Amino acid sequence: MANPGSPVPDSPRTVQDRSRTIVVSGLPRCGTSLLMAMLRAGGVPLFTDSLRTADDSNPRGYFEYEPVKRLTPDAPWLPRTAGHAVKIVIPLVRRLPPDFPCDVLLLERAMPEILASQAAMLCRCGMPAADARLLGPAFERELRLTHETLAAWTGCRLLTLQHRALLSRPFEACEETARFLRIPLDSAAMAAVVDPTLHRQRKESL
Amino acid sequence: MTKKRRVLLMGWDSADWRLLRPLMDRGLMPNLSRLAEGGAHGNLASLDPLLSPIIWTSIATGKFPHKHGVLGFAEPDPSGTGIRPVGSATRTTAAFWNMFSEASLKAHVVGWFAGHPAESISGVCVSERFALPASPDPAPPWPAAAGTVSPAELLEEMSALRVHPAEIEGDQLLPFVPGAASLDQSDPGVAEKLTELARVLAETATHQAAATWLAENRDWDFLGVYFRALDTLGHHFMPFHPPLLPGVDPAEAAIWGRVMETACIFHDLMLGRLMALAGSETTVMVLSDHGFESASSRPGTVANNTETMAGWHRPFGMVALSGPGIRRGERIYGSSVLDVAPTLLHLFGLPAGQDMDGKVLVSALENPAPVRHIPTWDTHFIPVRTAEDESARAVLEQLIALGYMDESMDGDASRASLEIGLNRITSLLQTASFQAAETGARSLAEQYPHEPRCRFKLVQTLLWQGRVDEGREVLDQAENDLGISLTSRRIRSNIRLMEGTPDGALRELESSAPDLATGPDFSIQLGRIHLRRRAWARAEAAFRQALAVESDLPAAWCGLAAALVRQDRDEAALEAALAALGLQHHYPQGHFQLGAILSKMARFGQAVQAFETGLSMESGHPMAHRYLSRLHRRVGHLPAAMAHEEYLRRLRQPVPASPSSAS
Repeated sequence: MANPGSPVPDSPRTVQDRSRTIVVSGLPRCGTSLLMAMLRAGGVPLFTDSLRTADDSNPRGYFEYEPVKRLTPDAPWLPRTAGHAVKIVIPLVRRLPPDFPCDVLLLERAMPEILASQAAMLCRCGMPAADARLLGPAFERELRLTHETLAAWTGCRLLTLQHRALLSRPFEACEETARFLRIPLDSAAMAAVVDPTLHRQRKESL
Repeated sequence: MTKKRRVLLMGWDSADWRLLRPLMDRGLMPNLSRLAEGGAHGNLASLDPLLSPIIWTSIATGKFPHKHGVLGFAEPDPSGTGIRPVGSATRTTAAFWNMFSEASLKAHVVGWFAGHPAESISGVCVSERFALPASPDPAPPWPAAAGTVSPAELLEEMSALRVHPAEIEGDQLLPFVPGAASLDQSDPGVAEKLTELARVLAETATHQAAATWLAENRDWDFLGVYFRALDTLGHHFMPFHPPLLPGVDPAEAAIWGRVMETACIFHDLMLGRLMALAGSETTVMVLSDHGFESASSRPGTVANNTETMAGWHRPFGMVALSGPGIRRGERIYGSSVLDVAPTLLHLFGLPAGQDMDGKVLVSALENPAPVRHIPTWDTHFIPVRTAEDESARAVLEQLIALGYMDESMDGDASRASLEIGLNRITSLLQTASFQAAETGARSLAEQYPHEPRCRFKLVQTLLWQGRVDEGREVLDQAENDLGISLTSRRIRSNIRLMEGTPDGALRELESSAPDLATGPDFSIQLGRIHLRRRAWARAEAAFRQALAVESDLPAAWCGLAAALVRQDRDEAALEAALAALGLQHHYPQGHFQLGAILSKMARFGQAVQAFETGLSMESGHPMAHRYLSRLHRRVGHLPAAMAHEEYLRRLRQPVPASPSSAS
């Protein structure tokens, strides 16, 4: 039996012997969990320990690997992520080694939606929301820094995906992802994961 | 009516009398000679660790590093990712330019280490990044970075004063490297050295241009300007400075051997220009944060390797000051980098802070006014907070709250945090703040279990408190976990000495040879062991051996004093103890040794003074209290004697158990 907390990678199906890691990144609450679920449906094995379980904020689950929260460039588990998708949010993604061979899927979402979603999540945990006037520009800065950093890395390929496009045109977004990753993905299965009813912050903001 | 005082301060990083004096004697530094001869001068004891951003901040604040918060070159970025250079936002206490501003003096500061972003003060503040070239191209607009000049309205005007490294012409390099024109610049080693020289000259010229512009175009009471060049160039070119070092290629020395000498002459020219602008009624001060090995004691042939850089720094910088109210031809003894801020305040008739660790250099002053104090200058001090820092912290806190991040650090940040932690403990130990040092060391040892320095620091804090058994246990565990090293053997030698087994200490010390056998640290430890073995002549020989390698070693002079007084050579012992304190005033062990010698010489009043000075730096030293009780009884001060006896009685009583542990 595996040790508690050790990753339980999915069995590779369509993705075989890949030497690169698929990194799903973005600001928290911009759809990284959704994309992880879609990749799984499309046949990409995920690197997750499932310690953080589904809740009201993420009914499908978080698809996280707990040690990512303490990521350092020399993390011993990093090489084992090859051939898998791993979720590493901003700003932690900038802690990867600059020569780490990875394909980054960077999700972007309208900042008011991100902030509203984060505030709702904090509210569900009984915590107060921070000042959005301070956080908005700060998150924009983090996003800009992440783009600049990843662009300079030798081992990194980057595809930026829009959260809204994932919801409104999921099949096209999945096809684009498959082309970028240069692997066959089951785009129909991936698109079927999308449940627009879970997109609460946009609905509420409309 | 009292004339208004003006002070000009030039900070020359790493300037050392050992490098400067021979050049002054040859008439190559006439302005510094004029300053030293026409005023007061001496060594300036530095602080451990010998790292420039830490020490320049101690110079600016008058405080030990753990009080001012600048504890290394870099610190974790508030975003939780990566590191950034320390800066003005790192400092947690007022610097003298903040104090001058509060006192409504017009103060300008240029290029101070750890001084970015520029602070809002009464005058103009130019940060260390003002001279930093953002690109290799000097063509306009070559923008200066935001935050490098305060007030910001002056940024554009002052930007024109900057010199880009690409603007340094070949003929400007020739005084430094006379054969530069014939060098093969396609050789990467040659190109790297010339590029570095041009970069340093450009930065130096920029700081000088900003200072002269301020001197000429702005009212001022205080003008301070910092120059990094002697340190930076020292790390590249000091191995080639004459005399020729074993292991250095004579041909290389012929090419690069003039750089340091010319750099000193260049500094002297800049001093002369600023002195002329300031006028004879201005008090001028030149000082450095630490020294730099320049003679036969240079530790090897490579000075710019990260591992060896600090080894080239000497624990004594220099100070020279001259002007109205400053004694002429006075040699200053026992001064420290901590004394600069209190002395500057005193020159302007302002009180020092009681929370400062330095003292006013009254021995440099003619008819000094009584030194005044206020509790602190921090009452109205607002630490620098940048909007970027605030937003980065907000992001970090939000992500931790959302469960996406731990309060962990990445590799660089973790390493920076380790160095900061170790330096903080070093600073705490210098002020005998044992409890805080121990807490910090235990936390570091837990956080970095594979880093031997954390364990050794913990052993050190325990030994300094006399808790030998606990120290030995931690060392045993460290050797068990991480293996035996030369350092661990040295520490075990010290433990054996404290256990009262000097022969065991000697064996451990010898097992740490031969690598350390020729170093003065080895000789000092050997001397201490022989003192404990009551082998006085051998102890004397060991301390003299250390001093033959490096004469500015307070610990060696202090040990020599102990060895001499035991051989009834009291006068020589007294001289040795005074030599130790002349080098380093903040040295409690030296004051205790001086007190013991004076007591033996029946100079009881002076002995009392020496012990009390030592106790003011390290209270609770039983031997000092024992001496003082006897000395006070001898001169008939019974209440004072009884107070020390009572203290010793309390010290001997076991510490009462706390209610929780008793139950």
